[in-house]
Amino acid sequence: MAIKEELTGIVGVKNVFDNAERLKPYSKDNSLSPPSMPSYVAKPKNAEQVQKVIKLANEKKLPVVPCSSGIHFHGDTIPVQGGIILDLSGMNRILAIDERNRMARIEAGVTWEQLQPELEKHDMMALAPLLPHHLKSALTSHLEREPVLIPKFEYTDTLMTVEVVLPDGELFKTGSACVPGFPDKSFSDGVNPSGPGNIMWARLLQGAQGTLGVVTWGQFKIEYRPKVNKTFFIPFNNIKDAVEVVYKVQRRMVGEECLILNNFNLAAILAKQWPEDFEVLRATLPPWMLILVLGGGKRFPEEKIEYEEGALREVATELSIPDLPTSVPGVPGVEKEITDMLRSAWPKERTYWKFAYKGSCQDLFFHTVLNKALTFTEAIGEVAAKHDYPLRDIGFYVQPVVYGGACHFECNFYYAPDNAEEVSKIKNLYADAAEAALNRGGFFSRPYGVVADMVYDRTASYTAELKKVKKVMDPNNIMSPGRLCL
Amino acid sequence: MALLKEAYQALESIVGSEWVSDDPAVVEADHVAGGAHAAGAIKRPACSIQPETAEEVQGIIRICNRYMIPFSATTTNPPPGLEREGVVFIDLKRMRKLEIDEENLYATVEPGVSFAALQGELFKRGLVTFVPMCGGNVSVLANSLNVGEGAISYRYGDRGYRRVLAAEWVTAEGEILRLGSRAAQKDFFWGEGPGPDLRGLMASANLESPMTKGICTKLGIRVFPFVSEKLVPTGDAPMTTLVLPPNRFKFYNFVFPTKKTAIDAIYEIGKCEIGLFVMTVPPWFFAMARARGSAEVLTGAAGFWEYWDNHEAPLIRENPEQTSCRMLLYGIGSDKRLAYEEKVLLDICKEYGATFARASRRAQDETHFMSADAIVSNLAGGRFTSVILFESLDHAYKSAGIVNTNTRKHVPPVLDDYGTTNWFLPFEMCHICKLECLRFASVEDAGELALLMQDCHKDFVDVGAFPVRPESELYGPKWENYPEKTRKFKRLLDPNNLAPPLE
Amino acid sequence: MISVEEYRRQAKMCMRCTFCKFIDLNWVTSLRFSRQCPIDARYAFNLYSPHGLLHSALAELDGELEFGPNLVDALFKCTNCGACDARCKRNLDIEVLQVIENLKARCVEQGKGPMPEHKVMADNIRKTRNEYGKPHEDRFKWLTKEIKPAQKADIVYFVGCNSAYQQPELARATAKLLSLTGTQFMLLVDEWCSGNYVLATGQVELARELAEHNVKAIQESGAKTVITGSAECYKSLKVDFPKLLGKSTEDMPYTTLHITEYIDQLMKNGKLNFKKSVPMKVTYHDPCNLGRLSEPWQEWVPNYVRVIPIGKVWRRGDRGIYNPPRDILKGIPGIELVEMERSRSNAWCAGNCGGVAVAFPDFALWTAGERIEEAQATGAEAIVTCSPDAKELLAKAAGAKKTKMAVYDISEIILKAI
Repeated sequence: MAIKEELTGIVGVKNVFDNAERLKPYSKDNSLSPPSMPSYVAKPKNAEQVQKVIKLANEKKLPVVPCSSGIHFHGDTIPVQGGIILDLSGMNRILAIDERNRMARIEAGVTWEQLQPELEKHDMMALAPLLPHHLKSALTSHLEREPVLIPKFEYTDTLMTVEVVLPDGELFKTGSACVPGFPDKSFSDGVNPSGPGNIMWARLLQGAQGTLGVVTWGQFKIEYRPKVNKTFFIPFNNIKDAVEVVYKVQRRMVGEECLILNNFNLAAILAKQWPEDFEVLRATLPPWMLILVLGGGKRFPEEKIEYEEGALREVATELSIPDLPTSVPGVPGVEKEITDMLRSAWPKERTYWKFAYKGSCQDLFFHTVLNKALTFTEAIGEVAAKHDYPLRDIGFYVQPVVYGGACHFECNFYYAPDNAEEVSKIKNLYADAAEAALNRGGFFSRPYGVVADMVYDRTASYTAELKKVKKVMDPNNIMSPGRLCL
Repeated sequence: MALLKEAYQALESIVGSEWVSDDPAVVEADHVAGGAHAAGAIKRPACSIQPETAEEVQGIIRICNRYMIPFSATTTNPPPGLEREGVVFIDLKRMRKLEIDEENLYATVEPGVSFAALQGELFKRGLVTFVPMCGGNVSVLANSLNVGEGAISYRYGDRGYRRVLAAEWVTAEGEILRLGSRAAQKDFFWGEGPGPDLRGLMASANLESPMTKGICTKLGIRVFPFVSEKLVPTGDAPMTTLVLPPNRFKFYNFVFPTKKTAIDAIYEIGKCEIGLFVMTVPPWFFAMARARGSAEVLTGAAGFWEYWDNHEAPLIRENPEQTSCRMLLYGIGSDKRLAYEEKVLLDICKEYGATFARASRRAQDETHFMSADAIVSNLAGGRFTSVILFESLDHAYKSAGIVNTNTRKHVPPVLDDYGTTNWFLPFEMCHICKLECLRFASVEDAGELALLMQDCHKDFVDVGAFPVRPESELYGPKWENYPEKTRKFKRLLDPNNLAPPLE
Repeated sequence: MISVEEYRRQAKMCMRCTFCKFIDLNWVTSLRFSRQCPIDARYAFNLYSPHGLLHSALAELDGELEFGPNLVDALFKCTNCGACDARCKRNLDIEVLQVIENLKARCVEQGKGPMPEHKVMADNIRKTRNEYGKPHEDRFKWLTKEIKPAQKADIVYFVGCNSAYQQPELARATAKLLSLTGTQFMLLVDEWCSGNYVLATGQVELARELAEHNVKAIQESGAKTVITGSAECYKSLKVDFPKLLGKSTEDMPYTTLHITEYIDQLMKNGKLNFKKSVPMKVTYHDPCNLGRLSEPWQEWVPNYVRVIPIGKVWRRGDRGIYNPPRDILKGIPGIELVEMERSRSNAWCAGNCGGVAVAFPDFALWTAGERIEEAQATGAEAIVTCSPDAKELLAKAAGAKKTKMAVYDISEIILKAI
């Protein structure tokens, strides 16, 4: 039987495509990765169908590339060796919202746009990365280990348990979800990520970019969504001073969302009219802005904010910071809007903030420690200058994690995707900037595209072991072959 | 079983003759399995060896692979895997380096660093780590890869896996594998990746040995913000404690009319994000607290048995359902935080019908910071077993019922606890809960404890409970056939099967 | 010594929790000074540890292990400092030290121990009644014209071998202190070595002989109180003698006081004032034999109801003589007392205990050197102690490390202040 027929038999005729027009959107994405056409797209509705597709792929030695979001930024869903795109966007049920245990269980295709409003009905929220695209799969964000905006340690490592179709087609549930009768007929609530056995399976799957299995649902932590908030927008001329405040505030364990944006990125987020609003904002916003949200607790919220604000003011006094504005300079009245935005997907009626300036954006991000943020901004600036890319056009985003013990450092290079010259320039700039970051100790825990090649060249023992693991789990090498170092 | 002379000489060439021995007395001291003098089930190691660096560990393991000699390793715990003949026992206690990056909240430890030592160093810097319930004497590295929970896991996040950062690992084949940021550079500040997180292969937090695929020789470990005021040690052992600054900490004891309301209230406490820890308190803890040491004379004043028989037992008989809880409120970062937390707690207690009874435990509560009172469970010469499960609070509540039912079948215990010795410790603001069901017997009746465990496990499997250290033969077929999968990775990382076997 | 059944019972309780190797965990403030067992800290293998020795005791009892050279080495390097015993008593209440003492005695009984140097020491004592083999008639040669013991008094000053022969200035200092405080004291007509190291090295028969002699001598003297400046003799008089004779401390025909207890009493009763200032920053070393090992001995016949020992009085090290020396130092004008990290029942052994310095001088010196480093870490100019043996070794270690740290016996400091 021809492959298409087999696929049709599994997922139904309306859910299989092999014509160029339908395949093309999957051949490329918003990254600089070169395009590559798949042979088929299959859209399963449940795990059983996923299993059957995987088993077929094993039989026919066809690559399978899973994806669940409606938009992609890193090239990780481009089928570099062709094969079957397994589009899970149709598996979009929210399976459970458990306020008591503060967890949600969702299928792979549930987007941030879908998820957060549902959770808000229960006065809860998922811990979100910065302004995710409305079509972005929430589960994928967890699997990709995207940094969340709230650096409280007890909030991180949000993923608990998952159901995964392994590369051999076997269905497997990780952690305490592995028990018989889960979820409805077991004592277990699926909140323990460890095991079964002496392995933390979910850790293997995170950051794997689809190379080690297809996650069909995932369960993760959700938290109480504060109803009363007070947001501070603290301006700085240089990032070093912003970082000092973050260190001290985090040591006092104060605040919810805490992030640093440079004027470019904040302007891009705030601008409603393009390019007028944006240019004014970029010119008037301070070079750096620390956004810190104080969230009221479930009980006596104002009193919580009061003591946290007191702590913040003590930090300001220590560091001689004269003012703690609760509004964005030059843009009054957006405080609540911003706070709400930080707990939501990017509104679909607005152009995505990273596309609004020139149409596309290449993100370079890695982990480092906060006190190196200045070093990296300078280093990136130097590289940009060599490539004639103005520093003022680079977006920077520094996200403290785990009480300020480290940070996600991100710089955004904006470019016009239809301008071949610009694309070429950005590619070179991106590669050189990545190299510069690597040389200064930036750690790419989530490497994509050319960065992955650079990273795995430097991590010999890890690379070798990863390949062995891949061979054990996916002996036919059908899952996203050519991705990472695999 | 003696080592081949060539193998022994090869080991000597790695560490020097001073640090390796096959003398009967030396290896007999390592012929232990989780307690006293062991015989029968476990065997004397072939030799004991003490490396000082990861390269020496690597050298030893390579020699073991060359001569196909099984090995085991430990620092404080008894070594696993001694069921086999001729084991090279690698004692890691010479590896004792510790570095602390105060600003970036992490420490880098070698296997010989104990929790108490790390905590002592952290307190000086206004930082804190969790110290596990088994005692501050244990190895930070080993425990963090094994379970790594402590009372303050409530505030600072579940078990060791949440704190483990980058690692340096010598695989069972003798390769040095570097994980996380250490893979790409010299520091240990970040644990994930690059890409898929291979730390997932090394250990889970299930009380199973992390040695089954290799030996970790260095580990980055997250540490946490803490108060700047000093916790002052006072007293002479056994009555020592740490005096907590009253502007930053406050203990509360409260009692709920039923276990169910206690659980409901604890969930609410977690949601309100207050406190450094909260737990239910088995009544025997109160009696233990009043004994001057772990055993007290029957005729002495305020002895354990006197207190238990005359104070605790009658209360329990009167209302077996009532549940005591204890909480430590935490005023970090602001002078007003403690008052806020107290207000919230009192509000919750009022809503859920708690009363405030009982005097404090003895000052040794504060030892949760150092876990100095770890092994009192032995009640001076008795034995105890512990059925442990990590899952939700509701799961803990249901599972405790199974343990209670099975306990009644196995008598006599030392302590007639009326089913109340179940200890609920919520972690990570009640996202997860450790249930520890302690059961006691005299040395003569210790066999009953093993039977009790077996009965509990048989019931757990059927109801979908999730205990730690499941027996793979019993649970494997019901839990996604996981042993098949874990064995694949075991074979991958330990192709010659020389590291301690999987459980 | 304890019965075989009790010996086995105690050793079997060991869970290898390893609390025995660390100071009380609440008191740990650094990695450097967190350990408490000298043999564990210095030597490689778990044999060289309290739990290793307990495990060896069981194996030997069961015929699975002999007293070979390595076991004997580890056993007699153990200083019997009692740190492990005190630590274990926090959680498991095992009589760790009793097991180790018993193991040493068994070793000696089987002719496999003690070390040759210990046997020489024992021979010296048999012949000359002191561990150095020096003439017995020279035991009181330290006396000067100014020091006039009474012919008859209620108080005996028990000098001890080290003060009598090695550091006579300390004997003189203690005697002067007694005189200057108006205390009538006498010396024993025939003082023999108290045998602390004899018992500690498992030579029980000789130790008993020494106990019997000294107790009889004290009885015959008519004195009711024995004062000594030696921590080792203090422990022998108060704890070992009753133990060897099958009695409790309270049954003995005398009360034992260390000179610091006595001086402290005088101070607190207003009968002694320190007139002179002694400007010095000092730290105090708790001798094991005066600290955690000095609690009164209670004779007990093992009697258990299930797991609970009936009628047993526990000795956990918390009722040692910790405060009197400190109160004295704090009472002297000019003295600034700073504490080492490991103090009171957490004190690190100076290395002289258990007869270790006799047979293993290098290890003893290393142990003392560790203590000197710990003292240096406090910023103190001097280390003060109440054991002539400890003082001698600490001074040697300070010299070996070429440090300016001074080492004093407390009697010397007190004399400066009177």
